[in-house]
Amino acid sequence: MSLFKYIGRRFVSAIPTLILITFLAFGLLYVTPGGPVEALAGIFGTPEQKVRIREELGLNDPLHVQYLRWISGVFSGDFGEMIVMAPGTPIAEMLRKPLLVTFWLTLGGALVALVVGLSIGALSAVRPNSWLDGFSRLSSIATYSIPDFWLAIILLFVFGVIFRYRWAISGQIDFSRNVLFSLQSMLLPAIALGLAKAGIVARITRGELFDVQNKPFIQFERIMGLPNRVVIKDMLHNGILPIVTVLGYTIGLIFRGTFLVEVVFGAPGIGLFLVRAAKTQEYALLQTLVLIIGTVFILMNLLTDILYGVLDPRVRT
Amino acid sequence: MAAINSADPLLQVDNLRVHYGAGRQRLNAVDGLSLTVDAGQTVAIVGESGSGKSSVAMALVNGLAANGEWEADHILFQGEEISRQELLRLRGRAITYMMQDPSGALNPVLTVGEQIKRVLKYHTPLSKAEREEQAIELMERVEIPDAASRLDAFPHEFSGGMQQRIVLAMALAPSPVLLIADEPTTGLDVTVEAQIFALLDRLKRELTMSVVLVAHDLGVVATSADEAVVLYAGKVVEKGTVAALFERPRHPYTIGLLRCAHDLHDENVLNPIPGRIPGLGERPQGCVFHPRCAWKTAECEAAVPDLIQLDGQSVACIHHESLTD
Repeated sequence: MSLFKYIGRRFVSAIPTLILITFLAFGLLYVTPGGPVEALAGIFGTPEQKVRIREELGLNDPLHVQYLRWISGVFSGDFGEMIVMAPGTPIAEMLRKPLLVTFWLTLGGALVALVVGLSIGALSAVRPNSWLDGFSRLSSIATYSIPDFWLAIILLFVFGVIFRYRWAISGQIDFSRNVLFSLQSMLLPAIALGLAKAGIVARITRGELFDVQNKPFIQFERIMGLPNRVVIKDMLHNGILPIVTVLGYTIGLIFRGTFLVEVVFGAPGIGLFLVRAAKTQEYALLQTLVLIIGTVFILMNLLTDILYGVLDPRVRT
Repeated sequence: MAAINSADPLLQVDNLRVHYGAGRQRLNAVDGLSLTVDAGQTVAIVGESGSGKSSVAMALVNGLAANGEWEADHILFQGEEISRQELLRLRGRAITYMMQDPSGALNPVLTVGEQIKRVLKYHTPLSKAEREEQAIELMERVEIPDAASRLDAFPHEFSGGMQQRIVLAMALAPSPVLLIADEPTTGLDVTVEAQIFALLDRLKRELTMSVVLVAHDLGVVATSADEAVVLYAGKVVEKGTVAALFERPRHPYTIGLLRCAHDLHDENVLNPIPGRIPGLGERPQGCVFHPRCAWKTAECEAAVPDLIQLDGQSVACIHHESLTD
């Protein structure tokens, strides 16, 4: 199968899952206690008010009509409006900045996980059973046993409470305003997020790079007198494949990790929003967040599949 | 290249030793093997698993595992004494190698065309366009049907037999004078095995190439090889022309090996050699084969037997005269 066809097929196969996510996000409205009517009418709302609200929100329409109305809104960028926290504000506008914050944190965390994980893993693969290898194996077990939010609290305590760095506790990440300060504020959350996942990357990198040097085809290439740089390139190409498989998953985990880490550092990302949305029964916001989080996970997996297909012809069949 | 004196053997290696590990953990895998390969000849190295036969093949192309080391008293290539370094420089060019397991020998992420063309790129002066042409020609030579259109296929799209043909095409790409084939049909069907050996035989003649064939199957040796070296626990127990060895094996081990094969036609189906080959660290004193030998005497345990030169073959057994098949 050609690469093009393979990518097309992966895209198509992601569609049913995406549709399922929209069902789940939509259905949330009906399983949350209270629901939008209670939220709008308040504790003292009269039964008459509630009936009127139901009518206004179109909650008396058949389910599929309500779903179609919602989903067509979603496709045109209209996710509904805020009711409690900032009445009348469109959700899309509300979420723009928090999404950016979460995006930067996820990216920072992924970078830390990759750079630390790949380099430690590669170094210990080159010198197996050295003190460095022992240290890296121990630290990879340690890091993936440590939850990211715990690490976040420790970092916050050390740098914010003991050393009293202002950037350590600010949580202000806005690259349109202050790039340097934003980078500083990102540092600790990114380390907390990335370090916790670096262990798993390091372990897989070490194992794969170590194994690949003994693969028969690498041996054959050496015996056939191919230059060293060519052989090393082939080793990296083949060794990287299993690392790619955990990549999407790891980034997904880091994205999920940002929710709690944001709360620890007070960074205004969607994690902080999610908690508030749940507390205040801001149902449209909650729906949108569920939709976004689900979609991000599906896209990460899709990206992994595509990357794998690009790198390894065997999976294209 | 200087004119080759046809009287000189293509490759001669004297007293080859292979060992793994160092110091107290040093284990000898091959102990004093001498090998002479004439131009156009196939020399088989025969033995059970653990006899050290693959270590010989790997030593010649410097492909031993990281803890493996080898030396030889003399290496002569086309009549000239060369160092190990010079031998190393010949690999991939004058001496190439065929891997044991075809499914693992090809890089899974590159097309077979790329892999053949790469060998051409580093070992021949051909231009890019010529390499493309040559790659197709090589694939045709190893009888891959529809070669031109298969150039862009990946290894996993071929069967095991076809994969081994690709490996052979790569090994033939630099026009070697010596091909070392390490059990080239491991894991293949018997019919495919026969095809590969027939192909190897034909190409060897067409290209006037010599072959060192590592094998455990005596049937293969009988049909493809001119000479054979029988290896047991790292020691040469017998060597000679295939005709002589099959006509009159002199060493108890060779006799045993032939019996395992011969008696397939008889009523008693299996006739194995009792016992098993000793591991690297448990080689016995005296003759390495004596614990499994039906003819052993006290003398066999006392001293390592020398290779005794006879007509057409040599044998390392003090009792060779009194043995009957």
